[in-house]
Amino acid sequence: MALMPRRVKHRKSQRGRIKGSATRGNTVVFGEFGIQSLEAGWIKATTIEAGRIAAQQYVRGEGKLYIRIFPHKSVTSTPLETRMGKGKGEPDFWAATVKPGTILYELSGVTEQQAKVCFARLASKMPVKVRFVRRRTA
Amino acid sequence: MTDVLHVELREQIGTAATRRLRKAGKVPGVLYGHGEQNLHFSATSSEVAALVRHHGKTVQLSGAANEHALVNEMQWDPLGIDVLHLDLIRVNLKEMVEVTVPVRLHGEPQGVREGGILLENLHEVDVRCSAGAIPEDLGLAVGGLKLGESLTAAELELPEGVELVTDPETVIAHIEAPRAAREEGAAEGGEPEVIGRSEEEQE
Repeated sequence: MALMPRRVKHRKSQRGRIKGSATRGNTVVFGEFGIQSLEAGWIKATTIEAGRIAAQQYVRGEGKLYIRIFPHKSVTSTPLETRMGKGKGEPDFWAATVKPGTILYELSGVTEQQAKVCFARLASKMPVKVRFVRRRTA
Repeated sequence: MTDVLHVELREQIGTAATRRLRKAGKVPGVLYGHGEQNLHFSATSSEVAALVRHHGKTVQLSGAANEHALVNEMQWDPLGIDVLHLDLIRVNLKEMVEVTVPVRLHGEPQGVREGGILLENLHEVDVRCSAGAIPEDLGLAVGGLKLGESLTAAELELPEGVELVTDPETVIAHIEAPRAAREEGAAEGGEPEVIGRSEEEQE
């Protein structure tokens, strides 16, 4: 089941513009390794779920995967062959807004080699360019 | 390990000047403490990169300043690739300081052989020690850890002269049983509830 909010204040949101880089959520916090976005974009809830499945199938209960993003944004669309106008469309899917620097997933309890292979599988599902990152020690 | 940092005096301060410095392959920084005048300096990025690589806590300054300093803060760019600014505190190697030190787990836990996952709850702890004897990391033997068991900060291997500041009851690592299926707290299908709207209105 793809992620989505339980309660929202408004069903539909404006598209918005993604400016700048991430100043929060840009460091590895929970695990030892992470995957960091290098581009700005929307990541669909279904894509987040696809990434989770790809990663968890590889680690198979050996490590713990943390999802650091959540699809808060509802994206609307109008049905095909509909004439222009008649107001904003209906919510179609949920997406997470991602800025360059955002950590998307984290992994702990596995070796670096395992984490690299796991995140390489996961990266192929992502609509943004990503890079592998390690926890920054004190 | 104490790294040597060759510093140059920085006469021009402010956004534009620091940007020019960074373009020239240097990292701006400031040195303060001990009731003395602040010193704005710049160091080469290669030396700062080496400091990061060695996880150095104390540095021996040379050039514009000849003293020991403790790395108080490092500012990073949003992608975490380059160091933007260094904050150094003047320090006497014999004085006691409070620093954050990483924890290094060693040994293969019994619980992992039984199918569990070793999870680190806390990756760093705060310790008090003399500035000249800051440990690189603190070891924690997890070999005897069984499924469902945990180790606290009190069980860390502290070198002589190092005192723990973090609460000793804090859990550092534990073994978790692997989860068979996912039980994420996602809402079930359909649309989410709209706050402030009755059920009839939503239909």
